[in-house]
Amino acid sequence: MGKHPLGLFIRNVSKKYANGVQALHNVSLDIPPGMYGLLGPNGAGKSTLMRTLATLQEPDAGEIHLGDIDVVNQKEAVRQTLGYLPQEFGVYPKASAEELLDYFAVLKGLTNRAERRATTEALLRQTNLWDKRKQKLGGYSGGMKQRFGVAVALLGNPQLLIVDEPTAGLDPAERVRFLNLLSELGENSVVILSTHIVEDVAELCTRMAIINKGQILLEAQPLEAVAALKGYIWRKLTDKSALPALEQEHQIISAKLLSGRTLVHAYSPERPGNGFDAVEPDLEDVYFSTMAGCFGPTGQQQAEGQAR
Amino acid sequence: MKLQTIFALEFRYQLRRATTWLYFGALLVLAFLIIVANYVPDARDGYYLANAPVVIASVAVVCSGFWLVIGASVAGEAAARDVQTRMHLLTYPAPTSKAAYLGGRFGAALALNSLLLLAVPLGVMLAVYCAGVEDEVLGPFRLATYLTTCCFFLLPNALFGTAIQFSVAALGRRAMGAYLGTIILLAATHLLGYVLPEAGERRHLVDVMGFTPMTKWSTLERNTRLVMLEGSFLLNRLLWLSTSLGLLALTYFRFRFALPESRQQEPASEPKSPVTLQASLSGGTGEARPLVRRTYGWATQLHQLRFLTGQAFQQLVTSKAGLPLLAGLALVFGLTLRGNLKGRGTPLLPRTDVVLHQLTVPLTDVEPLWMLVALLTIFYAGELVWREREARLSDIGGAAPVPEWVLFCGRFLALGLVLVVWLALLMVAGVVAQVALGGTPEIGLYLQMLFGLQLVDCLLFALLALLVHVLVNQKFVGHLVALLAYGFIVFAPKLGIEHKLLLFGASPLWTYTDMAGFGSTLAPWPWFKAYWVAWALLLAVGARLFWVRGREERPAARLQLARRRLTRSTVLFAGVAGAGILLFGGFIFYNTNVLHDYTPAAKTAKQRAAYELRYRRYRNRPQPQLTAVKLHVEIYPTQRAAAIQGTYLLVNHSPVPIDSVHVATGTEMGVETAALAFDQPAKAVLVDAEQGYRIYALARPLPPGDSLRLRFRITHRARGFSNDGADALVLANGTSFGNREWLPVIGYQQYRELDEASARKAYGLAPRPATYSLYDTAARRYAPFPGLIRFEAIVGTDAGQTAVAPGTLRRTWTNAGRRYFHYATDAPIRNEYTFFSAHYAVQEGTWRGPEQKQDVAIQIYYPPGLTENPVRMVRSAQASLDYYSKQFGPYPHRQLRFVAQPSYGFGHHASPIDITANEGFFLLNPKKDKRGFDLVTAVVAHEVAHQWWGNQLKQAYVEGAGLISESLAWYSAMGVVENKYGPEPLRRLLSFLREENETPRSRAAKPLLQADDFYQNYRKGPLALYALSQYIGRDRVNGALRQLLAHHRPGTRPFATSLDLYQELQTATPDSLQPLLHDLFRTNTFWELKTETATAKPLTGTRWQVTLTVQASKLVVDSAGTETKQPMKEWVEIGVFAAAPESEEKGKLLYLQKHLITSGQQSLTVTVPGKPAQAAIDPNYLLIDWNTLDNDKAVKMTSQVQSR
Repeated sequence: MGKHPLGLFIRNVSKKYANGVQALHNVSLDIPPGMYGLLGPNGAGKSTLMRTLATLQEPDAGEIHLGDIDVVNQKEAVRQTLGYLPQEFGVYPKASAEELLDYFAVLKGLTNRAERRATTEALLRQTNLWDKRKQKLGGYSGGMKQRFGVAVALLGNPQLLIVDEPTAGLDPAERVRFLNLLSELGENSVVILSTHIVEDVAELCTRMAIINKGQILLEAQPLEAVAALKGYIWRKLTDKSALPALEQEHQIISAKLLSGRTLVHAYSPERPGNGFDAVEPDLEDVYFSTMAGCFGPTGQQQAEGQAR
Repeated sequence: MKLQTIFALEFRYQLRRATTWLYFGALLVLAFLIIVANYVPDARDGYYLANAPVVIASVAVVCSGFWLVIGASVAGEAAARDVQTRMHLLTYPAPTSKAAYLGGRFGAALALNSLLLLAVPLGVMLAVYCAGVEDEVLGPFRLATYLTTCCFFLLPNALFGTAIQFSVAALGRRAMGAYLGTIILLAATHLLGYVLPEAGERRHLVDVMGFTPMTKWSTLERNTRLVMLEGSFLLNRLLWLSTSLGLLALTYFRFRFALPESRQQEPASEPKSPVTLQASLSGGTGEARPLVRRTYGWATQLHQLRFLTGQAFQQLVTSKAGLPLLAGLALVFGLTLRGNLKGRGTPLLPRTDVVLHQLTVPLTDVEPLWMLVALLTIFYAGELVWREREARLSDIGGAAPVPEWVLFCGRFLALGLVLVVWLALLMVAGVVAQVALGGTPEIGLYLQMLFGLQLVDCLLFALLALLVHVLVNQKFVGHLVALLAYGFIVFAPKLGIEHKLLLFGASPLWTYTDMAGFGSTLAPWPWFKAYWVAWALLLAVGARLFWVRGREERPAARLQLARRRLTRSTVLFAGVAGAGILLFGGFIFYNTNVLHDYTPAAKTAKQRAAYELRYRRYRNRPQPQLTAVKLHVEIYPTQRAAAIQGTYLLVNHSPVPIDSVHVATGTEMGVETAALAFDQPAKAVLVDAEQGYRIYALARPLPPGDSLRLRFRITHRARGFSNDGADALVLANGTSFGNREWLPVIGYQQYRELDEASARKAYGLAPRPATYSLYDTAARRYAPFPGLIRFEAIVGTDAGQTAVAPGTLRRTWTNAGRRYFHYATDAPIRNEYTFFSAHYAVQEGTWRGPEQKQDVAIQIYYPPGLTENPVRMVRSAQASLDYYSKQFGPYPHRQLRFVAQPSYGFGHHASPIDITANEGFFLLNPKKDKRGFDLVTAVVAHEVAHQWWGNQLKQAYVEGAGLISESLAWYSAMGVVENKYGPEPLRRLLSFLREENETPRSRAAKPLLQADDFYQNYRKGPLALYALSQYIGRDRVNGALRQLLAHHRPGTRPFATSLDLYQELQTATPDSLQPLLHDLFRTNTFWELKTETATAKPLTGTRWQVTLTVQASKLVVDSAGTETKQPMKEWVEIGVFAAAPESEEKGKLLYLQKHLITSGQQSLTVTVPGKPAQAAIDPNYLLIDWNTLDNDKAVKMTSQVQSR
């Protein structure tokens, strides 16, 4: 395959399931090469979008282009340059990692035996599975299995890499290793990372979108979004019993426990007083503000305006 | 409490599933169809009522078998769904006891399966009461019928099936285990069935779904008797009940609330050390992945195809249901070969074609082991289609750049390879078994039939199974649909769908025998298979279009995807396949329906009905009799053609002038009768080519005693093939055809009428029994082809072949590369003859009549190479001619021939002079018969006897006809065996004939004089005649037979009936034995004779006194099954035997006298001249008593000898 002027363009994609759930509603995104984070709560439509990008589902309406490839109608061409790590997947328990990776290598078009061997070896080493390559996959831990999935996704240097909730089952060390792998690939491919963990995006992604209930709420660069929120976020330590009253008065975007007390963050253009202190916003505040509906395209100059 | 909750959840969960109701519906429809399509027509034919208890029970048995295979998912899911959906992570740690968990799940499965099986009585009721079945074939509604069916069949079956399936699935943690367990169970019970003794109902013990013990029932019982838990049926139920409970107990004890993975070794410690962490943090760029070339195109796709095929093949073969199971099945084939290679219980020479006849079975045939292979194919197809999704790898796999056709073809090729492995295993099993039996395998033939012919059937079905699984996209429903498709292929002919263009994979049967090779049977094969391969290609296109990939499984979405996948090359491919279907289908249709008349059974029946309706009124028209036949026959074996020119001499033997001649011409396919002409002016007033009926009005009526000639020409050319295959009368080697098939006959031919009662009714014909009553005096006036003719024929054939026809071979010559044979009879023969042409080897012998100074040449025309039996046959024929001519009268001809005809069969047809012998007969190997019985010699004696009984004495076409042809032939053969070979061979022949008594059958029957079935004609009749000969003397019986023949000279009327035989026997029987004669022939009488005790004490010298207590009774059973006790007062033999030396069954006879025995218990005392060991009542089994095991008893010594 020749070099595509890479970039993924998603226009007005909608998908409604047979049970009536509107999984995607008029989603449009421009995704340039590099790491792109898709952030949203469970059930927001992330996986539907990812599967649609991975040619496994059909959108009801809308267009998707990867460079000059029509993703909906030229599935074969997409697949030839695609790496996909689903949110949930299984393995053949009686096959070894080496065998199964070799299997997928052939499926991905690595027909030359020597090259295939070199590739699988490199991937197994990179994912730190080399020592366990002969072990049956049935005996793998969740993290090892996840790393194996990464190895499969990375086979053949994909131009489009879709990883759906990849860090969910990983321990901290594995997560770091995994994110490193990803960022390395993000240098010259489109890498889309869907997650509900804000840190993943904060640490890695140059661009991101927040999705909820099938709609894109925000499309932004994390750093700019955080900067745009500066001066709007306030914190207060309070008691749980006081929370309903506070919610009446203020735009509370998040509340979490801290040493037995409740730490609330509020969104407000000016100091709300009443014991609230200014706080340096982070991406989590961007996320919660967006989810709460107080931070959106209006606050972001470059964002597409039609999300709501 | 927990148990109830678990039960309720599972029950409701499965009850809401569509599949559950699909199974219910399938069972309902099946039960409905079995009644409507099978039992209602049977009932109309007068077998038994369509709603008789035993009918409903057997529907329950068949449906249960079906349910066992399709419904496996219910128990399988209940047992293993938790593991497969990974719910077990939640359910197993819950504080539930094993008993509650397993009990709840099993209980729910059992309840669901019971519910499913209730579809059977429902389907039956629908068929009986809502399908417009007429009242005449129905009995009254009886609740007890349905209750017994449910309680003794369906519900126990639900328990047994569920227990087995649940246990396998629970212990194997796979729902599919239930399906697999079922297949293994069926294979195992099938094998077990072979091991158990063949006779009796004992082999049914292992039928897990039960059986209907009705073989012994009379018509009356079949209509009314409830199937109760008794006898071997009770044993069957108990056996499976205990097996089921045992399995459940095992499941309870072996089941663990443990995760399947956790039993494997724990993964070695995770790399969590700081060093690794650091390495990982920094390592990323250190090991750059090599840049790889990824190429896409044909080469890659082929590479992927090869790879995927290998992977899938390996997956199937290495699974438990793969190689081990297939090898096991092949082993069953190998082990059962010895038992199957038998003709009438005599082993066959293990020639390759015979072995392969056992091994190869067309897809459309019902053969248990091959049905299992079909089931396995369906199972494998399901595994292949579902494996990736079940391992939850389908998202990754689906996103890989592999075209759908590679994904589908890879799986198909893998399945194909598995089937190749199966055939290879089968071949090994066949070859090893053949060598073990002393045969020499022809490997080429094995390869040709297994990998040339059988494999194509296997592959076609494999493709169908895969397609079904792809389209249905629900595993268990896929199994159900594939099974239904298979059921349709196998059983569609029963539903009236017979055209092989409509039955997937079907083609007309091919046969291969050493003598004829494939003959012309293989001719249609390539066309039909090409047609089905074209269909298969089209199906493959369908499978590609609808291949499920990714998450879109809704039909609408799949349809949309399919439309998108419809590329130009796909359309082109489908177009080529479609063109192939049209082309090959068109050619086949041209052959089957244009060149040939496509006549399914119904159409043949219609034709026969029309014949009877239109022309039966002419049956009593006086017609001239055929007295001489002169033919010129040209056989062209390689062209599958023949031409006959003939002249009939017809004489008016009637007392009135005859003004019109009715000619029945052959209606066989490819036979043309032309140029019919009389030697005096005549006009065709009716020519009905379809029914083969012509009427010629003579310009001048033929006065009594005058004659006229009829000339005709017949041409036969096999053209193409029909739906049943190519015409197989004229073959490259092994041609045989007779006058009955092709040549004109004078007058209305009753044998062309329709016999089945229901068909007669359907076509509005007067009801009559299939066989005319013995007491129907009008019917007694008919016999097929009875007249005597002088016969002369010149037969031409290929130079390398020998042509055979009746009579003396006057001359043989060669002309223009063809060889001619001129045959003429020296004495008149009955108007039945056959022409043969083949490469034969000939065994010759002569028999010289002692006084007549008559030489008879005995010639056996046999398949070259099989030299063993012809020698034996000549010897037996000589002995037979010797004995029969002395006992019954002269043999009128100067030759006696047995001529081989290609066939797997063993039977004969005894025309005058020339007896047709099927090829299989020459393969019989009596030397290996463990019974020490020489079947070949006995059968030859039987066939030669037909030269008297059937060819000299012509029987009327009514009940009892078999008694004076077949029974007399066997009875006569006994005399030959005794005279020439001695008493021991006779004893073995009698024991062979008595073997049939062990086959369970109803005692209800008509008396022997009205014999009309195999058992009466070939077994009971000869044994009764033998018994009579032992009571009144063989000479007296033979004298009566001589008289019978004298009173019915060949070619004269009236034809003999069993009443004439009875009259002669009455004359020969002294008054004291008239009651016995009556009991043997006039009524259907059974004796029950038993020795209860036998004791002995020594007298002076070597003499001993033996005392027997015997029990005796006699009853008469009518044809409906009503039993009537009769007072018994009979002279019955009492025998005492010395101890048997080793290797022999019976010891020396010490005493044999007839005693007068009456009903009830009685005691007898006899004195014998030696130490007795056994005493018996009726030791020679003369009286008809089906239980002969209790006739004898070991003799117990009284006090004096106990010191010993």
